Amino acid sequence: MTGPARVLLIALPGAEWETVSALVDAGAMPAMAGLIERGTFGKMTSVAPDGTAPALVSLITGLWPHQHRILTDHEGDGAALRPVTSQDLRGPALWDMLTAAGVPCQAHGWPAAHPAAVLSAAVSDRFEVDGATRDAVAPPALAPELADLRIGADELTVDDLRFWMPGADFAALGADPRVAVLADLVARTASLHAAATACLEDMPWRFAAVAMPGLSRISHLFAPWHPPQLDGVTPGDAAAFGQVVRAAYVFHDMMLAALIALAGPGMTVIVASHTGEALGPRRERITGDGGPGRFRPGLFAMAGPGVRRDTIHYGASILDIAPTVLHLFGRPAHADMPGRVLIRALEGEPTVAPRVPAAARAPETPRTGPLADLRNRGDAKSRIAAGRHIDAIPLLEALIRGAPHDQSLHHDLINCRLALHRPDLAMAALDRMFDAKKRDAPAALAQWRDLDARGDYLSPAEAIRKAELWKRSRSNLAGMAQLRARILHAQGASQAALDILTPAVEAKVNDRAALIRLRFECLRHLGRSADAEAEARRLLEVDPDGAEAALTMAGALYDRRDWSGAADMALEAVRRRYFLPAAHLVYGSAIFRCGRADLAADAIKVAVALDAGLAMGWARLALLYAGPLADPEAASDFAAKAQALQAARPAAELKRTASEADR
Amino acid sequence: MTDPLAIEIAAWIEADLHEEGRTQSVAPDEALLDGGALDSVRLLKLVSWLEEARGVTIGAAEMVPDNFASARAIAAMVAALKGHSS
Repeated sequence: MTGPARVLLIALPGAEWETVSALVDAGAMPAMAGLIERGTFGKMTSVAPDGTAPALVSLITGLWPHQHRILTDHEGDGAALRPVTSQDLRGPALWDMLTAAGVPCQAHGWPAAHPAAVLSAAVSDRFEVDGATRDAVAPPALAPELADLRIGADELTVDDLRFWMPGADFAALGADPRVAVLADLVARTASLHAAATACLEDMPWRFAAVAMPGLSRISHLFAPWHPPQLDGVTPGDAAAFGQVVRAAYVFHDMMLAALIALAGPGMTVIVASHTGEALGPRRERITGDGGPGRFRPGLFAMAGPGVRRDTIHYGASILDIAPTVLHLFGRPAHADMPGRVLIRALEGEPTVAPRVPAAARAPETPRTGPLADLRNRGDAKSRIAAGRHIDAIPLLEALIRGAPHDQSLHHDLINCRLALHRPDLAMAALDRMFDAKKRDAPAALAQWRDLDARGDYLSPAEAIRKAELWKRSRSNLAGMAQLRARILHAQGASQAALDILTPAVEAKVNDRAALIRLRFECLRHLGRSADAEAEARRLLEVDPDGAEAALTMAGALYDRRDWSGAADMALEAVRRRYFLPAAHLVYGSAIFRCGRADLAADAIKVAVALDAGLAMGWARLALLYAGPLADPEAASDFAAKAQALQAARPAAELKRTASEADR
Repeated sequence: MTDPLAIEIAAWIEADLHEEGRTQSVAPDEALLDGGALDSVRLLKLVSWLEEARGVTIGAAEMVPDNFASARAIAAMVAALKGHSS
């Protein structure tokens, strides 16, 4: 394939699908509207951990965080913290791969890209910080010119800020620190954009990557005042700061327009965000414990030669962007990249080049700084998200030894044990979790009382600690019951699990959808298909947009032998979330029953590509190729993989169990 | 006839509520989880007290709402645990 003239990849973290859609419809984001009209638009799932640095590095490398090793936004050198740099990165970025292929590249504002890479031009994420231009610009000769483009917060006037705060009474606000914070963020954002624009104008490139982190930062800080007005927001604050987030979207769209105009025609533009800041009624969690309501899926928009026009794309992941960009340049993706080329976003039926082996990555120096635990948590989360549960277990066990009171670590460990089909070990982990809770809770409550006695005279750090102590002194009875029921079901004791999942439990659990799914699974296991289908329907009512809900309904329809209905619902689940191997498997199985063995094989191959440990998938492929697809050699290969998995899994776990006993 | 342990448990909850400045009487059959008498913090304190005072070990398996629905239910759970251990 002949590569296009240029690819401009813009990371716009914080951009959220519903907010962008509403502003596009209102005519407030014309640059994004143009991209959507000329190309393909869709939601995009992220990696774990999904901090800006780990996620954007996954975007630019196509690797999971545990592979590229950027697991936090900052790193620790001794007691001091610094933003992650290219020294922390283990894995090539797109600009490294394309430069090696002779493509002139630029990179601007990307995390973990400091010192600025030796490219046609590069501005690192330190450029926006005063006095850091020394290594922040490459080639260094550009530094003086770009330094002149930097804007200080003190250079912004009240008139400049009226764009962001049209309803503000600046005299009444006086020295409100939020105004200074906003001015600083606006100045940093504009400075980076000015430098990137100058480089793109003056220096050669065929691939450029520009990160624009301002939207995420501004949205996150000012979301509490965004309409609709939340409880506790004063009318004065709502008038002053209520339009800041909208202005941030509009401002970034104006910057997008400038970048797109610079690139000119004949170029592919990709705009991508890994997560969107929640702005709806659930965003009150932003100001609370930063719980699951805080972030929504990100988005991507892609337009240019060979890209489908005016199309909605389902199931993209940020891991797909790097293979897709390489494909646009006619280059193969590396074998260790878990993502795929977004061929459904491209016209025709493009042929994807076979993968090539990845170069060995340099070993990492063990970390001991203040963020070592945070890194290990991120490492474990990344491996779990990638399906590498067995590799996450030693990390989690070490973390639990250091923080036995941390329930989230125990939860992750239990989930790993369940994923590896060891409910006995999961039950033991649950018992350990509760024992740790009982030991820790009295001391945590005593410390909480000490802090509580001091009234409001707490530092921010003490206030956070107080909230943590409160959490540690409590027990989530319904959550414990739900977890135990899950383990019982995994042990085959589905009736015992159902006995636990009473209406009293359902009324109190945090994730009602998960509980209904569990009830569905139990009923299905007990052969009570009609009751199971009723639960699947209830789940669709509780979680109408959920991928798991669609998958559950697909399972119910499959049990009822409604093959086409099951295939449709499984496909809907895939549309909602591509990284759902079971949905591909159910779709493949159902579409096979509809007489489409070819489509079935394709779908099940995707399932095992997403989860190579899916023994059922390999076994079904073996049957397909032994039967209707008439390829005994392939059938034999697939059967061998299924058998190897079934044989290896318990052995690996038994070995680990023995080593645990030794310890 | 009301189980003496159920009465004792109800009294313990009353006393603990009183420590927080809440004056509330608790009957052995009163629903504890819906009324807020047994919130998530008091629940763990109660578990610790029962383990210490009654010599039972309350494990994760016992942590289901039915076992803590009322003082009488808690007493029945403790009795069952003691029966298992004897």
